[in-house]
Amino acid sequence: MLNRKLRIISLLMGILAANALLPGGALAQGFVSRESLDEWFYSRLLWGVFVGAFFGVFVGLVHLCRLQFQIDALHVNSQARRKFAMWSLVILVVGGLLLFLDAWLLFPFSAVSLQFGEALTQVWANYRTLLIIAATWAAFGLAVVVATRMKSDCRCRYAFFPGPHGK
Amino acid sequence: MAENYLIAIGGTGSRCLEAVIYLAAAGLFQDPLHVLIIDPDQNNGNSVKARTLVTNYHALHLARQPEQAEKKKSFARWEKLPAPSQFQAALNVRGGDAGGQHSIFWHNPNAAQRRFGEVIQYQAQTEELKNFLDLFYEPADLEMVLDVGYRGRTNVGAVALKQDLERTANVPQGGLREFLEKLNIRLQAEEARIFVMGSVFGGTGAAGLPTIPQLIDNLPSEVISLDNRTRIRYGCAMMTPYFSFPKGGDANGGPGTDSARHAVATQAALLHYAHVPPGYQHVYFIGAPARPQTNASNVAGGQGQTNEPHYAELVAALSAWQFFALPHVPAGNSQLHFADTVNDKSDIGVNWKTLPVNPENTRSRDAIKRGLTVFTTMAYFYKNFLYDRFINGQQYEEAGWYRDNFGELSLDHDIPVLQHLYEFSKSYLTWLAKVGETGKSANLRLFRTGELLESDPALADRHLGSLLDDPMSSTARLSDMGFHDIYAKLDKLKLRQPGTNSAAGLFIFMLHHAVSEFCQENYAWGK
Repeated sequence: MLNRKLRIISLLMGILAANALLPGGALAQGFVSRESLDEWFYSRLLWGVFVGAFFGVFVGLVHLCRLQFQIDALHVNSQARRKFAMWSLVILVVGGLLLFLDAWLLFPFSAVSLQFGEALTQVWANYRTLLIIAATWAAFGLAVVVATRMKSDCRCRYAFFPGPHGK
Repeated sequence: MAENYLIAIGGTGSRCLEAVIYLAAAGLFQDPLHVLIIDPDQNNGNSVKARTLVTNYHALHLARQPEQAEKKKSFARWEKLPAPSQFQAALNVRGGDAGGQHSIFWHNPNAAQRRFGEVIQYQAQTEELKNFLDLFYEPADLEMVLDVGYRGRTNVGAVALKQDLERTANVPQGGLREFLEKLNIRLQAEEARIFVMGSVFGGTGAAGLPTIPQLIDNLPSEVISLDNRTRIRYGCAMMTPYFSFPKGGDANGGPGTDSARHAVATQAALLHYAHVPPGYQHVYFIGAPARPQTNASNVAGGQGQTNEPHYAELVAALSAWQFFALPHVPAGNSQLHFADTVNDKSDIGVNWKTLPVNPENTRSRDAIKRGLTVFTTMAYFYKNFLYDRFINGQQYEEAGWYRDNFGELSLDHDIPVLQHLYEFSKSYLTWLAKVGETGKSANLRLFRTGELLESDPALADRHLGSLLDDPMSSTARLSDMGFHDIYAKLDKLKLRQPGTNSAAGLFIFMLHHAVSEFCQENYAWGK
């Protein structure tokens, strides 16, 4: 179990490192202009923050606040944190995938659609993608914290934000 | 506030008292109770058990629950919660001394090896009187050591007990004096009710039942004035044979006890009471058609005489409850109460419909069912899911309900009270399960007693929502994840303020509220 986790973490770190190192090479080919890339970045950054926040409120209220109490614990805080980590992973993976599909199939870069390889190397494999995903995750996290803390009967109201402490 | 007086005589009386304590814990008794166990067998197993239970109860009673709690409803709206009901009846609480308690046990002042012959000073009597006494007592009776009570000999008990009680009516810290003092103070202001519980088939109970009104009547006027005595109303639960035990030998160094003689002894006692009415205004006549064994061996008395409980004791406790709840008891009026489980010529067994409560008052019947169900569910929940985590890891510190409501209060300081609650819960559930076992022959259907002692948390979780055995609630949606359902209700409970300085009291109050809400939904009870 631990080995599996380590493998997944190593893989993710590898992808992130590759992402960070690739931009120079990708831009060097010159098919996608810096302006288009910036335009894509700012547009998706806003969307990412919005979707992340929306998703955060949704996950917080519909899932985390309603976690079931298990007979082996008197609170759901640890369970909520585990679920939050799971959703964070989902955000990273799905966010990355959606950004790639967006670059490949949806966003009109200078009115032309990119090929698979072009979308991958020239747009997706870029530090901007990381920034969008990070901003999305941050918005998601913030929304989860606020939503779970603000809902008075939320079962994990003190899991992410400090509250009164029992003596 | 009315104050009631309860006397439990002998082992059977103690067993009935145990049931009274459980009903008080469940909230059926609210007014202060002054209790006295009269048992010359000072180490009787059932009496010792009742005394231990009273200690647990008293600690839980002292954990003050909030009187006027309000819970958050939505935004700035608050809803007033009902006043606490569980553990509210004070048992023998001493006035002006916070936490003090009068003894609930009558202290037998005699040496353990005293023989009955010494009580009546047989050897000192003239030959003529000895011959007369021989008509009433066998040589074995005269030689009988009274260390474990009267071994089913009513003729022995009637003399010895009356003498001993009269002798101790003025002895400080003996139990009886404090009981009478308290009674006298109450009688200055208003009428007082005394309820006596005991068997009419044994030695101590049958001897003590007619003795109590007579004893009080014969007291010197300094103890209770003549005027005050007219304000006493008496009720009693006369327990007729309802259990048996194996036939024994003569191992205890005296005449043995034999449950086969119970029916004859009862007949004789009742015949005597018919000729010489004992002076009770309300007599609750209680028995059971089948007499299951409630002890695996024949024990004349002492610690080994710990009989298992029986539903007849629950009925006796309910009769005390009803007697104390009567709006008016006229002095010259005498009533005999009895009930059966026959409906349209068929015996439908002991269930919520036939449990003897004031028959006209269906609301009371419902109140008993709900009160006991909530208390049973709460005890089960606490014992199986909370106690271990409270004691071994203080896991409540991270819980939302604790962080929201306890403020400066800490359960860490109330660990002994939490232990009392555990002991009490365990004792109650065991008692209820055994009542179920001994009541099998009477088709007893009150709770699913086979599941009450479940200790596997996963199975207990499944049983928690279906402990009540009531055909009337067959349409209810019975939860199979009771832990979550109750705990979620506890978790979202937010009080405006703790309203008490007892963390354990606040916890009991909140848990009771959560369990009440759960039972209301789970069993589809109307408001």
